[in-house]
Amino acid sequence: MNDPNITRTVYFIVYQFLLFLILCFINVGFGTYKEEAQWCLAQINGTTELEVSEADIISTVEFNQTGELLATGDKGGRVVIFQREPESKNEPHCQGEYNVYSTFQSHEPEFDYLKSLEIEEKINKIRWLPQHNAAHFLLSTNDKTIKLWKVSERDKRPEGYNLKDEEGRLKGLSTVTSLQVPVLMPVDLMVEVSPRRIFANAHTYHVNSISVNSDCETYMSADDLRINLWHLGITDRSFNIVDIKPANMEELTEVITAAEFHPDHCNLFVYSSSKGTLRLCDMRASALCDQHSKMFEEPEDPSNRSFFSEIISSISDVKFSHSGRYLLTRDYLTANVWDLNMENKPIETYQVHDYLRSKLCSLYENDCIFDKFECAWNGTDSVIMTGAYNNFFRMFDRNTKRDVTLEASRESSKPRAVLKPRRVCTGGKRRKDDISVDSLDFTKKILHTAWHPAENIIAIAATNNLYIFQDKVNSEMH
Amino acid sequence: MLGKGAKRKLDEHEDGLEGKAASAGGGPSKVSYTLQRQTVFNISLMKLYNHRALTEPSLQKRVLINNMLRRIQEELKQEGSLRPMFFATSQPQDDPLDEGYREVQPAFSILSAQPAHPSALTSTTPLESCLTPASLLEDDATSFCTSPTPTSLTPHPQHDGPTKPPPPPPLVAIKDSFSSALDEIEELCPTSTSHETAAVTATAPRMPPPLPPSVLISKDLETKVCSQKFEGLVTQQESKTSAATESRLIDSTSLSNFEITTSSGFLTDLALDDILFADIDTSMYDFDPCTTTTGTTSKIAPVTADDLLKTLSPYNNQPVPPNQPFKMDLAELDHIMEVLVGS
Repeated sequence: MNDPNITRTVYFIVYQFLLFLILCFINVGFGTYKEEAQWCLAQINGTTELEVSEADIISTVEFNQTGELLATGDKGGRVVIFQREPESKNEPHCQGEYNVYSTFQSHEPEFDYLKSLEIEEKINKIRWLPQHNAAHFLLSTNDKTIKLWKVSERDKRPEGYNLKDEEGRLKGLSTVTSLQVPVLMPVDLMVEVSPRRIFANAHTYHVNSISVNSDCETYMSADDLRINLWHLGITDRSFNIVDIKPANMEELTEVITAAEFHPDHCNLFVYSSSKGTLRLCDMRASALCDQHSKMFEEPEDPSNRSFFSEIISSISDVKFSHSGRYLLTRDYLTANVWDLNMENKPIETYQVHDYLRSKLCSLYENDCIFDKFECAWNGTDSVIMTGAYNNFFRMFDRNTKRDVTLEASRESSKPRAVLKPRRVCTGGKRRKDDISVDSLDFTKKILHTAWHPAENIIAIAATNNLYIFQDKVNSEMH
Repeated sequence: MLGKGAKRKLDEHEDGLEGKAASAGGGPSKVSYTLQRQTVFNISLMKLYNHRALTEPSLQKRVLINNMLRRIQEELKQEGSLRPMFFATSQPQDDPLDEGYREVQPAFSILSAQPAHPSALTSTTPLESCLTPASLLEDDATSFCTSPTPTSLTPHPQHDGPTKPPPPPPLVAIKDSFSSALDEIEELCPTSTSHETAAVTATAPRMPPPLPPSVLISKDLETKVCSQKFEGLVTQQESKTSAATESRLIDSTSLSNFEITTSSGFLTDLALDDILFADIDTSMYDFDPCTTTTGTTSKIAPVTADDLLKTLSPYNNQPVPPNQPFKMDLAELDHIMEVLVGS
């Protein structure tokens, strides 16, 4: 190279290129570059029968605080608890399967004699209590009654009683010649579930939410018009902390749809309404928290106004983020993230299935518009997830603003094969494997989803089947 | 639901509907808006009153449906008070019995021109077939769903109080639905011109009659009964007297008779009210002598259309002066009660 200018230019270019490479390596090395999660089906629990018995339909899914246990409730009043197997060294790919740990009948159908109506035994919500000792505790509720269950293991049995023989029959005193100390012998693991408290007769309307306070002593239960505060140890009394029942029921225009305690502040809780409002209440302010401390409401978009505006704005689920700073709400077509510090509008809005906006009349006719979808945060509050129709569920990454639609179905998921993103086409260019809006199966709805508190493991309830998906690439979240 | 492979037709389908709506005359969006409003209204009513579950129906659902009905009622009230020129483009009825009140023909009155089947009130056609297939209404999304004119649209009803009728006519305490249903029945008789009967038009805002049937009504709709059902007033009589059918605008005062919030008890804790009123409500709302035109209806009414017509016709042969209506209502109510109790 004769010309010094060319030389300098070349050196400059090479230098830039090297810088670029170094930066890339730094990113990868420090782990700030996160790959997209690759979800694959880990397991399915449930029957493959075509005839789905109504009692088997899963109505709630909940991980406990460590993620070791996963509880599901169904319409038949049963609760099934899954426990994660510890990872074995032999199969590092198989990251801890969830096996059935215990099954029990939580609620039975009842009859309300005053109104001549049945009380469904369907489990509306399950909430785990933080663990303090070897036993696990969970609250399960149907429309009217909340029950506290103790789940404990027994793997030892005392043997060698003095007064009783092996079958438990009393021994004749004359046969007892010496004293022996009973010894604990190991037996096969037994999981015992027993009801420790029954909180009944406190709700005139249907209980839709329960939430355990961070003080681990109290919890609240919310029905359509009232929220009650309980002490976990006291069953015959509860305090009413919210009451929106009007004096004249004719004037009733709004109901409570969901409620949750703040994860850290034991005095704060939030409840959502059928009109799309969120109210944050502080229990220190007064005994009856009818006056909210903050009200979160997004003004209606006049361009999107329709007959169904109110119905689709009804919030079906509300969840605090793990940090306690944000709220995630789900209404019929969108999922919104709110900052507790800003009341006038959500900070993020995610369209879950906006293609249904033109179908609202049909959906109103067949009642699908009243479906209550739940939503979930991941452990780091960076991704939110919610369900949709056709056994689709959606995940939205709050940082990258990318979203994905996945399907929970036996046919399209082979174990350990990465799930293929699905797409609903709305007229416009149609790609292969797209599904058109009219082909969606509205009977296959994913209402209940749960995300492991620490790892990228999700539990999806699709009618009577429980799907568990795991992230192949990132088993731990960054 | 169309299969995966059959989506080529989607655009044509949409075009067809849009064309239908567009050539509806007057304001296309207004017409379809009214149409959808009516459909939604009927769906809501049916949802509220056809629920026969063993368990208590969801309060949230009932409240939302009720709010929907109230909103529609408010809108209709507003429209009534504004006397909108929505329907100005529609042909005035040939026989304006009441110049103060104009009623636009339902789009589906054209269907009434078809040979009417005998009253089949006792048929048990499933409810769904009685509705305008909502899917047909909603492909033209924006024009259907959004209000055509902001002025006429009620702002989101903020009423916290019950929608009480201003001067409650006597016996309205029994059932507002009674009077409203009565009004419906009155409308059957072409000569009736009582102001109160205009109330019924709250349930059946009419479309401009001269709409060419081919445009607005597709083959599908013709075969589906619903249109009659939710108009409530497309009757055999109307087919005879289509030209002479009274036309009324929704009168705000007449709406006083018409309480959509109906059964006072359905939202209370006591199911007693439900039990007390539900049957009566259902029978009144489901009583549609006019659905006979295509012979299907949604519910079995204890009373046939003929009976009621007979009992009421003597009262409706002459125009009713304004101070008579209450007495007339009374007598009619008596008759209806007799008939109902008797059956």
